[in-house]
Amino acid sequence: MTVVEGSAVAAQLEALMARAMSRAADGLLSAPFDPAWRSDCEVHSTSATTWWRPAPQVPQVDFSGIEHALETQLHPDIIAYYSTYWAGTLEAYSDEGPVSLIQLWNPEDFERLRANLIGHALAKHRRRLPLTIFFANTEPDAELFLSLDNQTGEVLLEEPSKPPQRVVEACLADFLARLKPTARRPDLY
Amino acid sequence: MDHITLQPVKRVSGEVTLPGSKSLSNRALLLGALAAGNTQLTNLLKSDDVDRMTDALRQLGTTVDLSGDGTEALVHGNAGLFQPSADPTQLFLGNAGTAIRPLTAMLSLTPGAFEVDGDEYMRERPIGQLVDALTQLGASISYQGKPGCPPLRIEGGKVKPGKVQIPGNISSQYLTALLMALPLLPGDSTITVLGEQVSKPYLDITLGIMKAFGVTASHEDYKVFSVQGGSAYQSPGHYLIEGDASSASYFLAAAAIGGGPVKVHGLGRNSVQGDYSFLDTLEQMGARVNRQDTWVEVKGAPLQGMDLDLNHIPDAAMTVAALALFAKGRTSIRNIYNWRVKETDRMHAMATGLRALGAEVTTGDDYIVIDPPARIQPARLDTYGDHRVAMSFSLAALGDAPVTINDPDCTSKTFPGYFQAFAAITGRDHV
Repeated sequence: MTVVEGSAVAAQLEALMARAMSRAADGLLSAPFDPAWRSDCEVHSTSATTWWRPAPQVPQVDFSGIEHALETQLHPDIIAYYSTYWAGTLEAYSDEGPVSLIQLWNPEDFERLRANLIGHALAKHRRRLPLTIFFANTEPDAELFLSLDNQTGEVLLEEPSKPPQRVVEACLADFLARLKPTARRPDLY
Repeated sequence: MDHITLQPVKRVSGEVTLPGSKSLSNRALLLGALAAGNTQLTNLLKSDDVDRMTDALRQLGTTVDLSGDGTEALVHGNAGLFQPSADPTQLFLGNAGTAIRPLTAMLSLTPGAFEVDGDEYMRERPIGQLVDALTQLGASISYQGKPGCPPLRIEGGKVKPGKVQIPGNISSQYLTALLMALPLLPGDSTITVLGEQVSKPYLDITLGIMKAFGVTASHEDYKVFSVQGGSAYQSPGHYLIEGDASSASYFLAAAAIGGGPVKVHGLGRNSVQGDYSFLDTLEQMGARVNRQDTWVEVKGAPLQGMDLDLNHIPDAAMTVAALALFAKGRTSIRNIYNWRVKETDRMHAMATGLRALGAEVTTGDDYIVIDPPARIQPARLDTYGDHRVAMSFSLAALGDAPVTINDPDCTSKTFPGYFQAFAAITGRDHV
């Protein structure tokens, strides 16, 4: 597995999280509280809301199982993106519109994501389309999502079951660098 | 594709069929299933979303007779909520957001147990705020995986009429789901939208289709919605699934400029879309318009520049701005601040493009004034990734000069194949 240390994606993710936390009154982000869905990133909670800040994954989640299942190596940028923090979904704006960044809450969340990523990869394979790995949703009323081209590392705008619509950014680090966090709740859509 | 060059076009005529909108297709199928009487739906969109909704309705006991090409359906109404035979009923809705959102609301009213799931994309897309809203009214919905996301288990029939508050910055589809479901409760309900404004055009479409099926909901400036309980949906007999009226505007404007006639199928005089009133503007400027139940037709005539307040049709107003290139005299478009608050500054994009084509343009915060050129200049136009900028400027090809549009693929957001459709009525292959 690729080491995240020194990754430009991890650095931009850290900077983005810092921008998001600096917007919050007490430096903490919030999510709905669920007693059966806990995370190392939670700082304190009430019966309805939990407050969190990104917590480094130690140990980091391991993508080698997915790579084995797909018989391919995953792009180091996407591994860095998902294996840097335990964190909640992060809401932001890009120049093109709203972005809802998928992050991992806990190891069980990774298991869930892993199954969905494999489902996505198999759908690509069935349609003989190049492998992409999704990492964010877009506007609430659309089914569009953002993914990483596993070969080139480009950020793509996609709709399920179709070829990517267009390249949004040359690489994930550059895309993260231009995001502006919003104060919206993380479960907006 | 990096760019497309549109060669000058002299004559425009033909027919265009706009595919029915995805969300309207699924809303019409659902209301048809709940209505008393059978409903003949035409111009359904052929899509996975519509297939998932159709499958779900059948699983819930509704008979849906689809035509061979999938664009027409006879929906046998249940005259009220579903009466499912399975317990639990397991519904797989793929990636159909336009199916899972209204169905989640409707099933939370329906006695029985339901397990609602989607594909890997749906499972990553939260539905938590709709569930929160329904929970305020007593719904029993639990997450079977990640909190906030499908799969869901719904113990239906527990929702009671009452008051519910939702944030305005949520998906308009959530509010639509509540609006369509709550009339079937035995008592009255109110939905209060907090904070940011919801999408008015989208909600007008929802209220319009509900009205077509015999149920009205009132609202105070789209902030408080009052829903009368004990209502029942009634089949209108026949219902046309409209295509996107803003998309129609480019073809209709092309006809007004280039002579026509152009007939657009999939848009009728009972339209629930605000942009349908673009036809009024076309008429004001001089075009001849024929409005029928399932189509509209425009013929060209000398166009006259006008002073127009187009606050009610900000998207189609961009088409009017391009139309102004061909009108006699000055066109002023007012009250379009909305152009400034899109992802692209549409005011800047339109003004820049119109100037490149030779027009004299003045802009303010919420207006644009366009003096057309004596002759349209050849130009290469930036779209700024905005699909409506690209489609509006395609009209410039009806002048005497070739027009190159950068990044034409941005039209795929709402209209894949737009330039092929444009080529079909202009009789030219563009390169």
